[in-house]
Amino acid sequence: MREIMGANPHSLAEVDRLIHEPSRSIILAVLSAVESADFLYLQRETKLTKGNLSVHLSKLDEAGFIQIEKTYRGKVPLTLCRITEKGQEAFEIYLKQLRDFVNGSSGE
Amino acid sequence: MNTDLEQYRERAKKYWFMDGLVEIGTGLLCFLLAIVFEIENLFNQSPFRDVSFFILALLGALAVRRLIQRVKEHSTYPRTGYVSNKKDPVNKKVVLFAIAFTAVLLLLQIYWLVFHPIPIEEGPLIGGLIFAFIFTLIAYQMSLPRFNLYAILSLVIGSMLSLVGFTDLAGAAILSALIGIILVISGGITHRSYLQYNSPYEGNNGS
Repeated sequence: MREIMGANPHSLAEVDRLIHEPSRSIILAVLSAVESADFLYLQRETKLTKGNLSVHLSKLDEAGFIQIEKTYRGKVPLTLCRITEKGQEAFEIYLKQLRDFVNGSSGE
Repeated sequence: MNTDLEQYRERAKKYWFMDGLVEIGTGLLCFLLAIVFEIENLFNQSPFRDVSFFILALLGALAVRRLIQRVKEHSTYPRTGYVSNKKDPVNKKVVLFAIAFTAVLLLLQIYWLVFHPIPIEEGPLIGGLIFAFIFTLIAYQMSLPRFNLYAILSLVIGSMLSLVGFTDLAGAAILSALIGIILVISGGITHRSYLQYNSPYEGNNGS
């Protein structure tokens, strides 16, 4: 890892630290592919506890990357999450930076 | 890392298909089509002819979609969560593919009418081709290999029915019924394995 980072020291330094965390990047990856997903689906995908997932979702919400809607399906509470335009753009930039970094380091 | 993230995206996109209920629903729709084709076959001048057939098929598709949604609300969403798919803009590649396929199908039918190269009924074969096209499209768009298998089976069944000599409507009825059976069985197996590996979630679905 140290060697790879040495190949292109600036690319990874510029990535959004908020997104560059495994669980949060998974959440954004899922939400970027769909209209919306609920808390349970995200919990299954990230394999986080309810508390941890809530913290990550709150951080993304505060940054304006996702919208959280609390609603009901019948009598069951439902937390729906969807990515915002800002979040979509930030995630696409993040993916491009990762790709550039991987291509740059493999080309050297 | 990028590839890992891509896997999460792929999985979310094809979530609608993961529990096998879509196949079961589509299989039921095929049975409905089979009944309509058989009625047309029995009473040559049936009320289902022409436009009313498409309206019936469309209504059937909508009813099946609602049914799938209701079943998912009780069996899938409490287990693995709810995902709503994006209403993607029309994919140009898919539209071009569909136009090319329709053109080939029309040319094939004209060629058949004029030259009759092989003395067989072409109706069921064309039906099989249409089913195969739809399944291949789903397999390609959703990265679901099992739909390629349905496509191959549709082609094989369509060809066999043509070779045996079933006429258009009788062939279409048997083709639809057989594809319906395949879809219901395959969907049932997928759904059973889905239920086996995903127990209902205890507690509220919210933070």
